[in-house]
Amino acid sequence: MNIQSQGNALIVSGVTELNATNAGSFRDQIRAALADGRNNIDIDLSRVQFVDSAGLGALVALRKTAAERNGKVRLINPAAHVQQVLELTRLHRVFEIVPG
Amino acid sequence: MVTPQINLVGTRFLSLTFACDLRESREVSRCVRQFLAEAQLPESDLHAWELMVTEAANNAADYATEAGRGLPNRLEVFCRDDEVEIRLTDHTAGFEMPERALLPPVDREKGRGLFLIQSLASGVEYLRGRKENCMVIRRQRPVLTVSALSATASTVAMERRLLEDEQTLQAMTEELASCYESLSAVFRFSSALNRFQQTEEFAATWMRELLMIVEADWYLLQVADPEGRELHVAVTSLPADPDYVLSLSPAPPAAESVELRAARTRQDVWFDAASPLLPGDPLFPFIQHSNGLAHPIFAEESLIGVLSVGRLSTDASFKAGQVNVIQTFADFLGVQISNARFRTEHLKAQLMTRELEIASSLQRSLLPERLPQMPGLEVAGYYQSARLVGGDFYDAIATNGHGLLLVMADVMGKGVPAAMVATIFRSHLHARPDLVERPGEFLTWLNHSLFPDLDRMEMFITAQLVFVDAAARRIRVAGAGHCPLLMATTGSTPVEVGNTGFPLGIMRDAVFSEEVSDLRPATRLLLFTDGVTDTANSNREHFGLDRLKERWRLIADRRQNASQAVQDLASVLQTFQGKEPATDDQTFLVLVNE
Repeated sequence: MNIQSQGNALIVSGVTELNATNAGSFRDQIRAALADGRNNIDIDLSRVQFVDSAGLGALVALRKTAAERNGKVRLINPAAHVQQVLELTRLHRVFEIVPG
Repeated sequence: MVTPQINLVGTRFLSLTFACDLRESREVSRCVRQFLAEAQLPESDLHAWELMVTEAANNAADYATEAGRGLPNRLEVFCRDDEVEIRLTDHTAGFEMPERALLPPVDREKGRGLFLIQSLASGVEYLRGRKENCMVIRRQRPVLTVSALSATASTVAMERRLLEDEQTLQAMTEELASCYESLSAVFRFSSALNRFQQTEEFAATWMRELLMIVEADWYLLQVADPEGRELHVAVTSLPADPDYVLSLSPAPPAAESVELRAARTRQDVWFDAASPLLPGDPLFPFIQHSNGLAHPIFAEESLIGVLSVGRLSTDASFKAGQVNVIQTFADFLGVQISNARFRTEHLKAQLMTRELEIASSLQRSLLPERLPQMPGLEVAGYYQSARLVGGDFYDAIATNGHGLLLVMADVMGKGVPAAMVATIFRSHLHARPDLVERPGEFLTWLNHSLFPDLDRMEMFITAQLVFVDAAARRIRVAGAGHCPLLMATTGSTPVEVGNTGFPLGIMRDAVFSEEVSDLRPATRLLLFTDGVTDTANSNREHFGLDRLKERWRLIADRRQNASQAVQDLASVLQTFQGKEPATDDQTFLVLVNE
C-alpha cells in the first residue's frame, strides 16, 4: 500500500484486497499518516479485487476520522463488483465515489 | 487446511476443513471461488460466493466458543445445474437467524456480514445444534436454455460463456450509454449556466433531464430565501403541486422533514422501506411510498436549497453513478441560483445608484444658478440633498423691476419620481409671469393645472409663494400645506407668516388666499422646508422650530447679510446633526431687507 500526501489530502493506492486480515492495519496506517494536519483521504480502489464487511468497516472508520477533522473520504475508481458491494450496503450514499 | 474433492453423480462436490483463523477463512473462500469457476459459474456469481463464504467463515472464526476454537470448521459445496449450496459447520454458541437482517447505522464499523449473505443468497438457513451449528446458503445459477440443458458438457460450458459475455456486453452498453447521457447532459448543463434564464425555468428544464438520466420518477426543489430563514418550493414534478414552507430557524420542530434534516446536517438524507418518510414530513402527503434522497445544495458556505429526488417504489435504490449525477446536477443548480441572486443584487444596486445620480442631477438642475438681487433686497439659497434625494425646490423670479417672487416647495416622495414632479412644477411656475404678483391666485392655478398629474401619480406638493413688492416694501404670502416662513427684525422675536392651505394635488378646486405683511427695515425672511426642522442628531432629537426661531433671532440681531445668514444656519444645522446621515433634503431661502 502506498500513502502519499497532496495538500491537505492523503492519497492511498496500491491496495488489492480489503478483508478481515488486513482491514485493521489498513485503517491504522492511514490514521497515523493523517495525524499531521491533513483531513481528506482519497483511496484509489482501482486495483482492489475483493472487499468484505471488515474492509467496509475500515472505510467507515476512516470516514469518521476524516469527519472529525472536517474532512472527507473519496473512493476513487472502484471496480464494478466492489461498487456493487458499496451500493448493496448503501455506503455509496455516504462516500463520494469518483469514477475512473 | 484439508481439501478433498469428490465428484458425485450430477453434482460437483467440495469439502474443506479449516481452523478458526481469519487467514484460513480467506483461503477457503478463494478455494470455493476456484472450484466454482471450474464449474463455469459466471463472474458475478463467483464474486457473490467468494464474499458470502468469507463472511460466513469469518463469523465461524470470530465467534467460536472456547471449546470450539480448537475444533476444525467444515465447509461443503454442492454445485448443481440449477443452484449452488454451501453448508458451513461452526462451533460457535449460535444465533437466531433473523428473517431479514438489517443494515447497521452508516457510521458503525461492524454488522454488515449477515446482511451481505442474505442479500446475495437465494436462501439462507441456520441450523443450531448442541455442539455445532450449520449455516446453509443457496444461490440459483443463471437459467440455461433447454438446448443447453440437453447438450454435452462442453456445449453447456460454451452456452454459459456466451450467456455471461452477453450479460457483460449488455451491462457495458447500458453503463456506456448512461455515462454518455450523463456527461453530455452535464456539458450542456454547464454551458447553459452562462446564459441568463429565470431560475425556475432553468431548474425545471434540467430536472426533467435528470429524472430521465437517473431513472427517477419525481423531484422537488426547495430554495432558501437569501436571508436563509425559510425553504420554499421552487419547482417540482409532483402533480399535486405542493407549496409548503419550511422554517430554517434553529429551534425544532420538524425533524420529521427529510429536507430540513438534509439542510441542517449538510448531508444527504435517504428514505426507503427501511427508513420511510414519516407522517409528519410535509412531503408525506404527496409521496408516501418512495425511495430516494434529499440532497442539500450549498454555494460556498450558504445554504441555497434542498433537492429531493425519488422513485415511486420503496426498493430499487439509486446506484452510486446515479447518486453522483444527482449531486452534480444539484451542485450546478446551486451555482446557477447563487449567480442569479448575485446578478439581481448587483443589478439592483447599480439601478439604485444610477437612479440617485439621475435624481440628484435633475434636482440640482432645477435650482437657479444665480438668484436675482434688487436694491436693498438680498436673496440667498441653500440646498443640501439627503442620501435618498428628495423633491425640495426653491426659486426666485424677478418681475419688471417691481419685485420678486420667492418660491419654496417640497414634492412628496423621493428619488427620480419626486425630481420629475419638481421639474414639472418649475416649468409651470415659469409659464405664468402674469400671476407672479398674485401668489394666492398663482397657487390656485398651479393646483388646478397640476392636479390631474399629481392625482394619477398619487403625489402632492407643499409650496409657499412670497411676492416681495420692492416699491411698497410689502410681502404677499400664499401657502399650500407648507410650513410658514419666519420673519425677524432686529431686536424682536421672529414671527411665523403665511397660512397653510391644502397641498397642491389634494383638492382640484381649492382656492388659495394671501396674507399681506409690511417689510420693515432690517427684516430677514426665512423660507424653508420641513427637512430643516426635522434635522436629527444622534439622540434622535429634531432641530425643531424653536431652535430655528432662536437662531433666526440671533442672525437678525447680528444683522448678517443673506450669504452670511445662509452660512450661519447651514453650519448650525451641520453641527447639530453631527455624523448622523440626513434623512431629508435641507433647503432654505433667505431674503434680507436692509
